[in-house]
Amino acid sequence: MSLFARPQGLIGLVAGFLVWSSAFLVLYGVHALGCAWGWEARALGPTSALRLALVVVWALHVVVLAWLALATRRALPAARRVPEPTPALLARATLVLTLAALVATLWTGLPVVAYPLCA
Amino acid sequence: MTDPIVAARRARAIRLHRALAEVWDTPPGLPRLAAVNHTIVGRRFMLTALVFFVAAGILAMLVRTQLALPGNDVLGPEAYAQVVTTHGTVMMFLFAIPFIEGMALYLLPKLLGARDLAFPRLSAFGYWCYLFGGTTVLGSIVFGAAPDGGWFMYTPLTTKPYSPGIGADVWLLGITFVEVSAIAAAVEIVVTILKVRAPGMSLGRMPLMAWYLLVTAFMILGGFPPLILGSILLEVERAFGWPFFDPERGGDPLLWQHLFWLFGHPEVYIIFIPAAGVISTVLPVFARRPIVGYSWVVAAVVAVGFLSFGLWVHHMFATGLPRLSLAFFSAASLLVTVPQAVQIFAWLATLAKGRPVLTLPMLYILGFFFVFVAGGLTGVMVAVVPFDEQVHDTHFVVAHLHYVLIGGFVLPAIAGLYYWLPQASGRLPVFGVGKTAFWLIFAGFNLTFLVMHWTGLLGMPRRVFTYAPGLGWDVPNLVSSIGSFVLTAGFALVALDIFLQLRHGRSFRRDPWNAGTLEWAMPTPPAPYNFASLPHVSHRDPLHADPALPQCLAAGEGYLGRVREGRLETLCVSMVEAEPEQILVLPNRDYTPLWTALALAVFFGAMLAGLYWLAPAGLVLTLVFAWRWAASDAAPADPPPEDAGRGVRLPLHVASARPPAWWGLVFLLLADAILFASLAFGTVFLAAFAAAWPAASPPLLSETAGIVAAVSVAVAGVAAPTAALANRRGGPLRTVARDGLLALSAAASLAALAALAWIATGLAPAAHAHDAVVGALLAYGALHVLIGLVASLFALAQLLRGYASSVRRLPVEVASLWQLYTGATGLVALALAFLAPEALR
Ligand code: HEM
Ligand SMILES: [Cu+2]
Repeated sequence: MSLFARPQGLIGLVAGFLVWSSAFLVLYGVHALGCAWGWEARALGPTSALRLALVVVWALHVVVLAWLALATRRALPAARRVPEPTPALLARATLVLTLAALVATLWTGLPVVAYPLCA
Repeated sequence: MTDPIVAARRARAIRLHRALAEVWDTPPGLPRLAAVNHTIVGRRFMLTALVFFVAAGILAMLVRTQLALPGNDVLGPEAYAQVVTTHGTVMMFLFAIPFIEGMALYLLPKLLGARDLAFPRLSAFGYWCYLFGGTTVLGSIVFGAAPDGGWFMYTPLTTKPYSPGIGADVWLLGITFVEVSAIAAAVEIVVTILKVRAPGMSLGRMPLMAWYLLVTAFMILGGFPPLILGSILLEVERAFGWPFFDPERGGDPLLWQHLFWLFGHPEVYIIFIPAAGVISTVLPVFARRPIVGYSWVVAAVVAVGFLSFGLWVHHMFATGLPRLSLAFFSAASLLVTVPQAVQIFAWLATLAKGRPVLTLPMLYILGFFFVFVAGGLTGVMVAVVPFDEQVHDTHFVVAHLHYVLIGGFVLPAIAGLYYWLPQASGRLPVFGVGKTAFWLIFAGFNLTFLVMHWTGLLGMPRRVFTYAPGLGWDVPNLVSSIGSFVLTAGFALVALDIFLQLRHGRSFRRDPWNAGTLEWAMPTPPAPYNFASLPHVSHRDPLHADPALPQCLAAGEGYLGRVREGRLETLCVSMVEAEPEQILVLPNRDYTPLWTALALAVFFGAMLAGLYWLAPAGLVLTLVFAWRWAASDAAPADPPPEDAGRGVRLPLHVASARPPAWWGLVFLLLADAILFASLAFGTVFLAAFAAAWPAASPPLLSETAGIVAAVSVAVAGVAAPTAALANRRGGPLRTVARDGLLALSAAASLAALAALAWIATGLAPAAHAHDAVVGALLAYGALHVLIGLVASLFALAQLLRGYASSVRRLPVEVASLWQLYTGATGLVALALAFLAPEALR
């Protein structure tokens, strides 16, 4: 049976944006705490510890989302084979939402690459 | 000559109607206080909300009269502050949200093909909370004791030293009381949409309105808890001096702003999304074709729901946060426009591909389109950081706000009102007053608020009671004031129009708009049971797929076309595919919701009156009524499965593995978890950023007590779920183990309460915010442990008295879930209380 015919399939609908929310909150929190703790002044390789931490957080979320999007894409054919229309519809909406969350996460986190950090 | 088959069918329909009407009816008079039927409660919510709208509208007229001329003296500065604050508060909390809730409660069962909501008594309870809390807030202005700190209640202005009067307490307690009803309605809406639909109405066949309301309800569950927490903390600071927001003693006023806007920005979308749902429902009907891009619209609404939470800080652009933080929020502000655009495209495409007719509801929707485009532009302007700093706290912001709220909510709401009024009243309009009213509203609205953008750009600040002549503000203010009276005349005309329609409208058979959804498949005005039998849905527009559906349903040819043992019944289905799952037996006429709300009113009233010794009694009384409420649902024996019609046999909900009440608890705990997360956020925020930390004398917390508390909550949190597991498996030995484990969980809860009290002896909560946040964490834990204790005892009592079993397992499952949640949050709370303040500096 397709995942999208079961109640668990509904979680797929929100999973992408839950990851986006996590990215948003963790970036915001790490940034605020990092500034308070003076991580900006600590150099690490070509950049500061704070910027590195932010970029890592950002990249992790992007990777998780990319994986989610791929998994959804793979589940699509099975959902299409169900004779009822709903699983296919949910699968499609899930894919759209996961891709949207991926783009949203890329876009929201973009400033961590170049913006001044604690000013 | 009538066909004998048709005549027989009609006779059957009339017999069935009589039988159903008898059990579902709520007679007028005193029994109305016990009413729980969703049609009655939904109508009540909407009517009460409209009364609040009129009141807040009158306050707005006072404001506009005051501002019409420079140096005017209709209102003094103190009265002005009260009037503006009350206007904003009433409009947002007592008009917009409750109106939406009422609309949802009234419409959902009818849209979904059900006879009532999942928990009729819960929404009745919510209504009383709303009425009691709301009248307190509005009533205070009559006595000149209204809140005056702005609808956003910024600290420190609203703390005791700066607002010594009772006004701020009225706001905090009254609005929190009202929010109880918002949470209740949200749980109701979510469970009803997911579980109480007609069989065959899989999620992909659900009317779009239900998707919009589902997202709205989840947003309420996510957005209101931070506000509720903030209000509780601020009230505790005002009442007992715990300094959460006092910078001198380790608090931080910014904490309030965070908590408020975590709620406040989503709030705007909570208001806007259902209004968009009205458009997505009404527009396709009058475009004479199904909406284009159903699944895209669903995805867009879910996306807006999430993205709108990413914007809270945009109201704090002027508070000196680092630029990178602001960049995150600017990014999110722009993102949220994308799904909005998707919706607009779906609407435009539907119009383009259909054959639109310009009816009165459509006229309001066109008005919405105009305002939306203009308002969206100004919104993007506000989202850009440098611009915001310029117009921050001027009338530009006031104008933008009303553009969004009146354009985005009030206009579509009137469209919905005109669209569904015939459904509720059984009458169609006869006079053409509606069109005149629309043009008055449209002209008055733009005259008032389009011009007000300009007043703002000229630099006129908001929330000032008057201004000097010669600043160039005179003319635009006068125009705005004239416009607002035109606007009011328009609203008055709508009221007249509706009154005329109710009194003198012409009646019709069915479905005057040729709509396809199920609320038009019943006689109008609707009977209290909605459908004489429930349809099997196999199409998104069931009425278009089968125009004879209403007659079939009326004759009892669907599910549950019978009355058995005087019971009120509807069906529960599986979440996604809507396969019939349970027969849901509903209550009728019950005073318990009213009594429970009154008990809660004792608590809020005592807090407001400063009778702090009485307040706990109110809480205990509420728990007593909650116990009675839960007990009244129980069956004395395991009921067998029953015939549900159309050849389906189903268990009753009390004998089901997952009755709606279990899901209700899941979603309630979701809101609770968000409240807890907000509290954790507050703790971390103060510990890491507040100025006066660390405390001169940090609290001395007994580590032994901490360990006892942690072990106790963990034991309770494991014992109760294990008991539930043993209960599900059944068997004599497991029955003994189950009772023993439940008793153990209750004993562990008691031990935890004692240990928490012991820890609290080391606190001086009024001395420093460190003590205060630890106190708040402990209080959160203690309240949950107390309820867990009651839940475990309740389950045990029901089992021993034979009112619960391995089949009728809800009481045990509730105790299990609650104790599990309490164990998990309790451990986190203890860890935060003992470790966070030191670890974060
Ligand atoms: C009926 C037409 C209305 C008029 C003429 C009107 C007028 C006004 C004016 C002039 C102010 C600002 C006064 C100041 O800042 O000095 C104001 C504030 C406000 N209005 Fe309205 N309003 C109307 C309807 C609404 C509606 C429908 C809502 C919400 C659903 C609403 C929500 C608010 C809020 C939240 C504030 C801010 C209150 C504060 O600053 O504490 N208004 N209104
Ligand atoms: Cu906002």
